[in-house]
Amino acid sequence: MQDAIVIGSGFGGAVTAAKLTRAGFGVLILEKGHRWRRPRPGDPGENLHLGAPITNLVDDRGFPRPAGDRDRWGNPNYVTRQSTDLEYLFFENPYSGVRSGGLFEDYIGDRMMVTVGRGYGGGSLVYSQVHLRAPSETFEEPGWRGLPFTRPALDPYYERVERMLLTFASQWDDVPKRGAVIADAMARAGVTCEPARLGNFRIARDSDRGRPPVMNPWGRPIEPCNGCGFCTFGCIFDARQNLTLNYLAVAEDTGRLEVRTDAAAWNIEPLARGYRVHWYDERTGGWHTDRARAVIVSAGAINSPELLLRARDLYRSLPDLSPHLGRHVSGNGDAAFGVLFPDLAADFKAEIYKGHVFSIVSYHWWRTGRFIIEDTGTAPVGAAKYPVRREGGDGRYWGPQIKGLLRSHYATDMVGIGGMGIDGADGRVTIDAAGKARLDWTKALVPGDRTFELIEAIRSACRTIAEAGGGELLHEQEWSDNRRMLGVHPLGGCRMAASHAAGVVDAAGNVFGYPGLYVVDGSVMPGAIGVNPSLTIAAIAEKLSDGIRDRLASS
Amino acid sequence: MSSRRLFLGRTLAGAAGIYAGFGVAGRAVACEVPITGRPWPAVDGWEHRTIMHFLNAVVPGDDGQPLFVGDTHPLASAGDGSAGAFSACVLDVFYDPYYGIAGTNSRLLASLLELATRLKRAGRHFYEASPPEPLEIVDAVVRGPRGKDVARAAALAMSAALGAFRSPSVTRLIGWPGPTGGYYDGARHPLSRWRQPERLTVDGNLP
Repeated sequence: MQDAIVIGSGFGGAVTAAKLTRAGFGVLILEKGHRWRRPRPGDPGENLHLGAPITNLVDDRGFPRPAGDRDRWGNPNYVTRQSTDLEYLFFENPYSGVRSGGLFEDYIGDRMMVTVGRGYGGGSLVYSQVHLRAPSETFEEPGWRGLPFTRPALDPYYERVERMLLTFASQWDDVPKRGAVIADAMARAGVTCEPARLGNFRIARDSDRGRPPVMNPWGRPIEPCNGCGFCTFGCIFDARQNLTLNYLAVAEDTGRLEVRTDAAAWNIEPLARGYRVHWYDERTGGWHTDRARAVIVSAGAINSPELLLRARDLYRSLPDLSPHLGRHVSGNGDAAFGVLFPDLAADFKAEIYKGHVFSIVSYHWWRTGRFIIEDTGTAPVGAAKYPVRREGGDGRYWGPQIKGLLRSHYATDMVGIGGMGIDGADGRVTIDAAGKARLDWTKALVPGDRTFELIEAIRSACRTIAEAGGGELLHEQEWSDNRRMLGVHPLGGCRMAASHAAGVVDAAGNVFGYPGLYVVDGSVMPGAIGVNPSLTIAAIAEKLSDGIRDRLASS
Repeated sequence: MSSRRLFLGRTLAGAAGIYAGFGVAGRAVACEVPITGRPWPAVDGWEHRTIMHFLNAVVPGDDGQPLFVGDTHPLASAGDGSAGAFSACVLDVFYDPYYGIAGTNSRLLASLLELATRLKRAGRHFYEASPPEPLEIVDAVVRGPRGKDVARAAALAMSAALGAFRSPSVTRLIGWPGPTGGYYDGARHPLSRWRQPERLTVDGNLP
């Protein structure tokens, strides 16, 4: 029997695993995604060699093929590449039945669609490394009332996380061209703005050429970021300091961590002492069980409620879980738009896909509207992923119109801009008859609704900035026409509350009615955070895992 | 002649020119130093040529800046100026099974495109259609019940194809951007070139 099983290895799970292993406890991580590593010359599946068959990359089930080498626990390594095969990259989509085991999962509901990272390291494999502390007002929202979380109370935990992730305050001269174009427009509009606080990538300089990588305090390399703009598809250069290079590295180096990747937790059942976790091997389909004194569910805002809903409703192994399970899901108010600056000077082009994904943040509307605005980088042709058109177009999103737009303006004049804020947290995760997650929004997105008003306010702010810079806001189909929110920061679903009648876990992360069963991840948030959430998830995980460690020690 | 065939022809001609020792002439007409400083890679397959063309359509650079020495397709507002070239290139990538758009939707969509091409009597295969037929074929499919999937799959296919050149084999092949090269230069505008907004915070965090 393990001391603890941690299900998931994102910001909640990695922090908890590091804390417990450093305290001397044996920890098993079950991660349903792959273990990814950067490409090396000679890796199989480099099928851009002419004539190489595509089957080098995926097997006959459409699953990615592993690289051939393994980690210290025998888990196969997979190569991060961006990507020669959609099945290699995307999707786990319960609606279409497509399952690939790639780097992302998509959950698409009628009014909400989220994309989350998947793999050992969780969302850190694909996140933007923007590290913002949640402003005080976040914790004054109704969902947080009665909970011991305020900004002053969390500041010591934020500091711990920032030390681990080597957070730094970037400066104006770190801002890539796209951010400069937007910041310039903000200045013209009289909108305040800051260079973003970022994770510990080093922005490459000419002086980096030919030098060996700098090592982080945990003996892992910090490669320079050359601003290639592919961050959102997983960095193949290890310039993104994902959790495998800090928290998980610390846990691994204790010798008390065991990791099973491609291991999908399916059910949890209580024992006389501890819990049994049933999981299956994504590669072989074989079923396994492991037991532990404590189980920490850290699978994120979609998969944590999904797992617990199965335990409550499908297998009835945890029948007393709160009726709030799966409810109060927030998209963190994510909203993204495109802006076209058609008249940029020849020496002041945007070059949207250069540089780190987010480089500037504006709190200008935080006090009045509870939202922030950020620039958004994309991979080359990334903008083409989103059906956009100019306002006043004929309503079609493919064909000569969008091609003409891209041909004329994409690389130089188009930028991404978006925001996040405090939404109504009216999303809901449910499970279908097969036990797979479904996601949707429970309220109509109409004028007067908090989420509707938030996203419209973000859009209005983006338009203000665009027009000040001589640009125009582009028409965005999913929100403007389909009233569907696109998000990458889902929160909630196992919300923290003062009682079983109001939430799923208590202020210590303990599931009501089930001692020793915890949830530690973004799903415990009682509502939106309003800024990039990873730092806050990790800070709360630091606090909750202190308590888990102490209770394990005393039991 | 279709833009794709035109492209292939021009590329082949360009490559032949390079091999024939006319690279200097190619440099002379280029308005700026090529981004990579390397010669246009040897063209040994139409898939490769498509990648090269695709790169030329989207790789950053000033107007008219060639990607490679001897590149006969300098950028113009980040896109090849010949009518339909970008579209044809994108559609090549979308359609072409070589790029491994192996999802169920994509297979279906590729089949739909093929079928629509034949129904339109535009050719036996989609890539044989000449402008504006490829666009009309795609638009016909988009108007069908799976239109959103078409657009989505096509867009993702573009991303996938672009991502391809991050493979070590491709970066070796084209020498760009590469783990130690690429965007070191020119990734930022000088501060004197733009106005910095006023700040609300000292360190980037609100209290």
